[in-house]
Amino acid sequence: MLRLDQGEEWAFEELVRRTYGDLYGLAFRMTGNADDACDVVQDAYLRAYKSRDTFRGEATVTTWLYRIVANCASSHVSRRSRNRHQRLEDSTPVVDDRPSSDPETMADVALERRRLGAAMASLPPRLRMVVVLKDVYDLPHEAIAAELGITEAAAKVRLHRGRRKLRERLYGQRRQ
Amino acid sequence: MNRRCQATITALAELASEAAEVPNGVSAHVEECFRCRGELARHRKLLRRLRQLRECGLEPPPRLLDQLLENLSESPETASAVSGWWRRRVNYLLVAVAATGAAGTGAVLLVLRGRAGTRLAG
Ligand SMILES: [Zn+2]
Repeated sequence: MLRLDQGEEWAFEELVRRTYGDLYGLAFRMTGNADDACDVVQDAYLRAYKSRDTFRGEATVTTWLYRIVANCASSHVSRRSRNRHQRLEDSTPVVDDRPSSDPETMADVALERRRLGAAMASLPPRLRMVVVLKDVYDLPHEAIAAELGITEAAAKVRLHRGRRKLRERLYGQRRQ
Repeated sequence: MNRRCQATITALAELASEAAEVPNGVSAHVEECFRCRGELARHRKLLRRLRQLRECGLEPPPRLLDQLLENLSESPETASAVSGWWRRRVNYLLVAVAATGAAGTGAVLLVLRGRAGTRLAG
């Protein structure tokens, strides 16, 4: 894991080279498209450089950068939504015409990943961002809440709702 | 679905991770309920798949790194931190131009010098 110890020379360019692919993955999963992800990564590095003094040795650089990307992506998605006069909940769901099929039985792992990717993309951004940060990137609730500007309780509620929607879309609607 | 199953499914959605223990309050019901055992299995599978997503990297656009470094080199705040990148890139292009022969070299050099000059001066 990449670490920058305090007192070590700030090798910013090297940091960009070593982390941009990973940060792009996070930004893409949070924003749902490549153009926005590139903008978010760009913003994140600028912000990281400006606030490099806030990096504390106890966290890994990667975790520190994830938090900055989370914050930039959240602002980006909110701004985009406002610009389009669109509510965050209004994202168009990706239709899965095989709601009851069980991915475990599919031989094609790539197809299963695509289905999960499509299900993730179909989540409203405010739910998707929390699921990505917690269940994919393993950020603590406290960090997620801080970077998204919500309470920890709200982060947990969004996580559970996001997980439930994903389960319904991937494994079929349970009869209530 | 009865109320017990509904409460159980809500509790399962709050499992912290794939490996997390089923909460005490609902474990007995999960043991005896076929439907809730299925829910637990599906929930754990979902969490496992989500965690695996991080390992299967998304391919960034091929020009992203160059664009990032170029834009950072243009920003007054970060220019000094990535100026080495631009110098190396100019040197690389100059070598490449030299290797392609004399034809057109003068014109390309002029363009490169002009560009490097504006950036390095900033
Ligand atoms: Zn049950």
